[in-house]
Amino acid sequence: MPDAGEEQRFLAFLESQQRTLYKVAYIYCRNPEDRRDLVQEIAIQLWRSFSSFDGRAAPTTWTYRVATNIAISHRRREGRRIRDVLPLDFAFDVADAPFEADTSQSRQLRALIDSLDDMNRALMLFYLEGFDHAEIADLLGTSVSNVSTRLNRIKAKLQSQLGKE
Amino acid sequence: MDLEDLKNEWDKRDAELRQSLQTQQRLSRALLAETQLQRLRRHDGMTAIELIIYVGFIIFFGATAASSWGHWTVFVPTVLLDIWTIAMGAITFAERARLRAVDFTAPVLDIQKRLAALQAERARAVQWAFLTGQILWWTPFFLVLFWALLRVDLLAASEFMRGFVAINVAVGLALIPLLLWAAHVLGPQLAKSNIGRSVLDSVTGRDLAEARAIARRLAQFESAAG
Repeated sequence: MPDAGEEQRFLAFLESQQRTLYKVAYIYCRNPEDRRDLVQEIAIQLWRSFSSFDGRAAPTTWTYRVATNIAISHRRREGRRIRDVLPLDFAFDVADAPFEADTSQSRQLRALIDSLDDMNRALMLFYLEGFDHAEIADLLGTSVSNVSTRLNRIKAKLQSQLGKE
Repeated sequence: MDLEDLKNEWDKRDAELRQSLQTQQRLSRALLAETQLQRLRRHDGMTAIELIIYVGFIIFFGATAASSWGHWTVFVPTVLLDIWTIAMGAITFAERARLRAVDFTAPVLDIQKRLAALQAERARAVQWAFLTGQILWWTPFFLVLFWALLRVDLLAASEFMRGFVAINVAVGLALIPLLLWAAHVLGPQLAKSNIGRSVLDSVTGRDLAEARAIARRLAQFESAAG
């Protein structure tokens, strides 16, 4: 069982990773209610995994890995709600506002994300977050060339979407 | 517009998110810390209700087996049910332990493959728990319950009961391959109703097919550079 000190460290860690959790949820869930569910599930798994966090990876990178893995599994279990809701100190309404802004670019971004499968969403998230190709390959467990090819395909998809408008 | 424009849009939204959260945190920092921790601790193991039900059944069958020693027509099914219950519980706990042991910090592809494999294992266990449990279980349980409540050995009580039990066990055993076959042949029609779908999920292990499909998609992702 974790001690009180570790619990407090986890809460501080969770607070520092709020944006990461929200952004992963945004990428994988269109619906704000689903985002809340997903953030809850990620927080629970982060708690379970926290004792194994040894600081070798950057906290944000570590969080992205856990959160993306949970997000993909969560989407497969669509419709199964989390029964025990955590009272997370997280202002979802505040967080939703910037990402729900109705501009042509944000609509384009949403449309592109919605057209991607689970693994490509993860890739797109890491790209948007500024990871380079080698880091993305490491996070996904694939090769750099695979990442480059996939990003080129996503670019082509974006151009095709823009062409249809 | 290209991906770089979308990235700039994302960065802009992220900056706004950072600012919004900082403002909000100043207002409500640590308000719910202790409650959060209590809820998180509850996700660290099996529930008390599950444990009580599981241990309760084992004790019930154990006590009934002890009380029916010498009455072999009751004792044997009781012991078989006890073994079945212990085995099903052990399989469930082992699956949960394997799921808890999954290192979610591993690369995404690796972990998704591992989760697909675990999903397939679980689906197989659920499939056979349904086939052996729902179809076969009730007949010996009927015998054991009568002994436990009324000290009546139904098999010894009458010729009719012996025939009744024998027929139900035989029908239950015959139903297992029949159900598997019917689920494959009649699946598309049955799947249109909610009840049919849930029965099919249990019998055919639809999760199993889904897990295999996920594993295939992951393999495609891995080799898609070409």
